[in-house]
Amino acid sequence: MLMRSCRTALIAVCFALTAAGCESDGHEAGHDHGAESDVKADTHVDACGGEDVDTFDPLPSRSGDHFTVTLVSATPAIPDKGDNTWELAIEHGGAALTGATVTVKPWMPAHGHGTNPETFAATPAAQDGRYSVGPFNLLMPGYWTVTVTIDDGQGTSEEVVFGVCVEG
Amino acid sequence: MSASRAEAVAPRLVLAALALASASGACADAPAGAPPDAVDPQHLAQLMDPATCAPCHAEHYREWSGSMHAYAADDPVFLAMNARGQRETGGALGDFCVSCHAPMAVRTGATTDGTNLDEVPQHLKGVTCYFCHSVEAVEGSHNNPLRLATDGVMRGGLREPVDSGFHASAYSPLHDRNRMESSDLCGSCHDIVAPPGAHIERTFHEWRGSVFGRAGSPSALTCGGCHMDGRDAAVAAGADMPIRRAHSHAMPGVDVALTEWPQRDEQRAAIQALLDTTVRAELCVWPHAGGADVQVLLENVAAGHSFPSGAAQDRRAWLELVAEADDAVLFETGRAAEGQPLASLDDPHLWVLGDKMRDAAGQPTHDFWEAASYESELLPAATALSPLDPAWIDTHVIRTFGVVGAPSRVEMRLKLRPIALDVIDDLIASGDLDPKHRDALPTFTLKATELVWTPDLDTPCVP
Repeated sequence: MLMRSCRTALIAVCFALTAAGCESDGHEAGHDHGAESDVKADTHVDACGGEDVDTFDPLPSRSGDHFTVTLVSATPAIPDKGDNTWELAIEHGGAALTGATVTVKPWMPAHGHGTNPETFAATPAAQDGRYSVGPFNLLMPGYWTVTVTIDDGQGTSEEVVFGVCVEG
Repeated sequence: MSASRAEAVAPRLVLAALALASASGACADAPAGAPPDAVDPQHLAQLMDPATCAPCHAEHYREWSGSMHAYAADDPVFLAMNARGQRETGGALGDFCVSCHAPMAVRTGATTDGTNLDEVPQHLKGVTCYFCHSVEAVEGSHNNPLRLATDGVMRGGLREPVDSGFHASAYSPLHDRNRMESSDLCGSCHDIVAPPGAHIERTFHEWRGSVFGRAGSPSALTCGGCHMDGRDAAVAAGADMPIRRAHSHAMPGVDVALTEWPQRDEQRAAIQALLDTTVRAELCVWPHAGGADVQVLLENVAAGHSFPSGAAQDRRAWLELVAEADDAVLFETGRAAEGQPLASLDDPHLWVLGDKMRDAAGQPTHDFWEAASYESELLPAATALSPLDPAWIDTHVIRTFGVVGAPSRVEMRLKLRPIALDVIDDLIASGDLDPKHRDALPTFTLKATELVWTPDLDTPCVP
């Protein structure tokens, strides 16, 4: 009973707040208190600075000598800490590559570790030349490489590498 | 939310919301540069109540409410240890525990030793919003050396904070998880030196010595980087509030609420998710005439500090390993039943990760107030990436177990109890802990360490 009456009162208060104009005038006043001037530059954490990071809007494509790998869907859309699932479109000479063996290995070069497990096998998706992989867990913020290894089963094998900045 | 906490908090939420509504009319539309009188004691008292924060910072408040920071002074194990420590030291323990578990209760004079916490107002218990967001300086590396401002300015990690009209706001690198200084703030209570001198909790120290603690390096990652997940969201209620990188205040580690508490299942799931990726394992089986050598490799990949860490003297991580031939068990270690203390196992091969404390006479003790030294077997965090680096240590920890007979199946997993059952039983036996809390203690299994080898895999090692 107490909980219910409190919730009712809260709803009323929220309504009052909304009616009173619970909004910002867009002014962002900084009360810096000198903090910035006290900060040493090398304490800034910037794990992706200077790295070869792909953008994910639009989704990236990388080519090797033989194959072109295009990320056609990603969940989440921008790679983030935690589970990620990708669908890749792979072409060879402009044609969809079917029947290939495709593996994906995420790696964090700055820490010298990958994921658990380290390598993920991609499985053919419904459309020719499409392969699904994941979920693979990008387990911490920072710069990750995601190496896609393609073996067409006819003697040609190649790696392409995507660069991912995980903000966390 | 527990009924008792809900009943305590809900009326305060209403009052706080009403106060906000009447004081400023909204969360964020007060004129710039017109925060309330910062040093008004009544206003400071309002700010000290976490419920005051809820109307404008609802999600942060919700996350914090289920956190171990909120639970710190309600945790029955903390209360039991403090009660016993105060009794056995004749009160000399003083505010050693409570200065981190209920810092605002200490700083407002509501308690001096934590033995009266049941009389202390709830809003002063735990590690509160006001406590962290008032920190203006870190004046040491352990046992809570934090200096609080009394200017009513709420410090945070956002540059150009929106003026709330209810409180002044300021950017602070101590609260910015993209600054190494932010770990100094966390480390102040996650690093503890016991009164007799043993460095019994070393999480901050371990992090500082690891690649994660290297300022200016691409490997640098702060406490908040792993324990405060980001999301794009408005940080406070109100129309047209900017979308920022907001951070979770649930801050999971390994400790859990043993009593009814908000978001308890959510907290345990977050802990499980962290644990599942922390340790990498490899299981190798090398058959030979008459049996097999079973080799287990463990590597702390992702903790950013040792594993386990914190109150490692109370924690127990251990290997469970079983080798079978058909239905016969050829070898087993670490097979503790649910609710069975590891200390009760007659297991010469038991591999336990944790600390052991010793008193001044060199005798084993569970009581940190007697801890003059410790022995430690933990999985260390990486200190360097190259063996050529003088700071490098090998983080691969390997043990080999001899099995008599040819196994047809070998399986392993690493398990963790945040608090050892023998520690719990000791507190129950001394009358300081209610036995009803024993069954609430979980045993976690680290998913990435659950491995199975069988001969048909045709490989000595998995994965």
